[in-house]
Amino acid sequence: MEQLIQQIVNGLALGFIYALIALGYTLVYGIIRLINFAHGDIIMVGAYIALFSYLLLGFGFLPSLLIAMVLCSILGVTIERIAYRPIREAPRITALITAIGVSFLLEYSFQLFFGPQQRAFPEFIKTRYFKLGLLSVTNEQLLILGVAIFLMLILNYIVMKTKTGMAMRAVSFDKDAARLMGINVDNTISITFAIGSSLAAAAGMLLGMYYQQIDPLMGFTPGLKAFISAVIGGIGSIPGAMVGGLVLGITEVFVVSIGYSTLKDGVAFLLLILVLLIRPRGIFGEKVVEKV
Amino acid sequence: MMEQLLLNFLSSYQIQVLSFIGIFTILAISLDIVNGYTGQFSIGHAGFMAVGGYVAAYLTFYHQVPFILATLAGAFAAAFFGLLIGIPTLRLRGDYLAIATLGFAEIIRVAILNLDVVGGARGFAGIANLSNFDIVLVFTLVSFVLLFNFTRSAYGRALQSIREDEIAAECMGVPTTYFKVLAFVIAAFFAGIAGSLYGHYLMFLHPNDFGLLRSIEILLMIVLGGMGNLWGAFLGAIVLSILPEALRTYNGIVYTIIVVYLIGVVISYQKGRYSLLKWITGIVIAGLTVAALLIFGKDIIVKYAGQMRMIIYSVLLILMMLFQSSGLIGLARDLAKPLSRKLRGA
Repeated sequence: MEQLIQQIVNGLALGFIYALIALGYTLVYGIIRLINFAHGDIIMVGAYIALFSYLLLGFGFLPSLLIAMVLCSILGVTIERIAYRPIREAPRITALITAIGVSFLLEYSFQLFFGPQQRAFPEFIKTRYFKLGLLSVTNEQLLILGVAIFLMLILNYIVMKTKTGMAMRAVSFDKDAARLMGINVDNTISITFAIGSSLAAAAGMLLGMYYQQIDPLMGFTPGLKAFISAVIGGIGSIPGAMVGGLVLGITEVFVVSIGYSTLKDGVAFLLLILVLLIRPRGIFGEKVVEKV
Repeated sequence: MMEQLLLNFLSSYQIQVLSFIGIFTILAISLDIVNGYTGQFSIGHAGFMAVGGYVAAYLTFYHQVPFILATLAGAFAAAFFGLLIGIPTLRLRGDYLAIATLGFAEIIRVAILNLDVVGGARGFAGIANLSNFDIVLVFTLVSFVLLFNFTRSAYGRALQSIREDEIAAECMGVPTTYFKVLAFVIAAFFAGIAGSLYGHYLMFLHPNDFGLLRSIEILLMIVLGGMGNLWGAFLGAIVLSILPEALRTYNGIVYTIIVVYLIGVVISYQKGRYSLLKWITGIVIAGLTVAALLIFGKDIIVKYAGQMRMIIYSVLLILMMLFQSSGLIGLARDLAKPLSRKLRGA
């Protein structure tokens, strides 16, 4: 029983990272109905920026986090501007293939410039163990939880309480109607990409701290898993993305802890397919009615 | 037979490249049935290739089954998996289907990694060399003819009606789910054949050969060639099988740059963005690139070109989608249009 609770605690950190990434997916999907495959690679870019701001500039945790978030949001907006905006009205498959192309471009340019090998990720804080009753928690895990929850609260505030957030919700509800109401749709989409990418950058840095190493292909699997989380929770739904991420993170740590670490990546997909078969709209998703 | 004949003109290395063009043609045209003709989005084709390859190799390795029978068994196994996967996932649309197929292919790969009887993570070595250029050629021709006729049959038109408008097709009495699953199963069947040819040609199989990268490579072939056209898929398979080989040598790199530049000129001309100034700028840029190649020396460039293969692929993919989403075959058709009009005297 203790073991079980301990595993859940360990899974929470990973789950919150997935949730952060899934939020970006959900925001972008909600607004332009595109699976942004490149989202996973923005995680990787964020982790590299954090690494270099530590190595070259000697920055600590918070400044590195901020730099990574700012630069990645610029990157996200640029990608949207160059690759996605011209084909917004094109068939969905076209956009999806473009997204795959952008993802590969990021992965392999980083491989070319920074080498394919894994790099040790710096310890931004000294690891310490805390005993909470029977459980042991590291301060790193607590930091991951803290940063993730803080960012989610900010996101929730932006989406629910500000004018920008209202514009985002309006565009995702009905793009044309929003435009008629005087909302600048292009800007709103750019802002969505900026927010999603900065969340991904933060997730990348946390992921680096979690695994203690990074490489140019590191973003792909977490990206896919975060997408799976978003689908499990109901794509387009913010609480759904959080719950989906936590479910996936905890399941994964649990599968590893009972000794099937090679099946870890398969389990996520199995979970996805189960959800798609039983409840395709996910836990919090709304029923979509197909219009002719 | 053909192989002996060709050996008079070509090296065995070149014949190997030709064989891979054949294998990838089978993969590309079968994926085109799902993605191009039916308008569904599958990115798990490598999974079916893996099933076919491993089942066939298992049969020839452990039970000395004749190659043809083993290949058919592999193909049927792949088709069975196609059915198994197709029935639940084809109820999903667009993006969900893409992720589900990707997920299934990944599950197949992970499963094979854990299957010790076929080598698991070490790979499956010692497969008999039962496939060669002649066999690949025969299988490619037969597959192409079969699928070509299929796309032109009433079945093929039913698939295309689903692509154009699923709801309208349903209203016209096309059982859309049945046809979608059918397309999926047929594509899986041929992917299985290709897998068997691949395994018995290389005499070695590894689960990681059948990851997402392979699926994307096949997808890229049909995108580059032009979706919904088997000739386009064939063209894409040729280009993308030769390109990585061409990038290994210095001359190949130079030719590649020139060809890509010319295609770019044609596309911009076609889109009415042509102007003499742009053309001159293009020539200057191409000239500078070639000059850079000459200055920096062959070794460095050849070394980096190998590493840049994936970057070149992804840039191609993006540019193709942005400027020429109907692919090379669409470009050829656009170019041929005024010509044929002239020939008809109109």
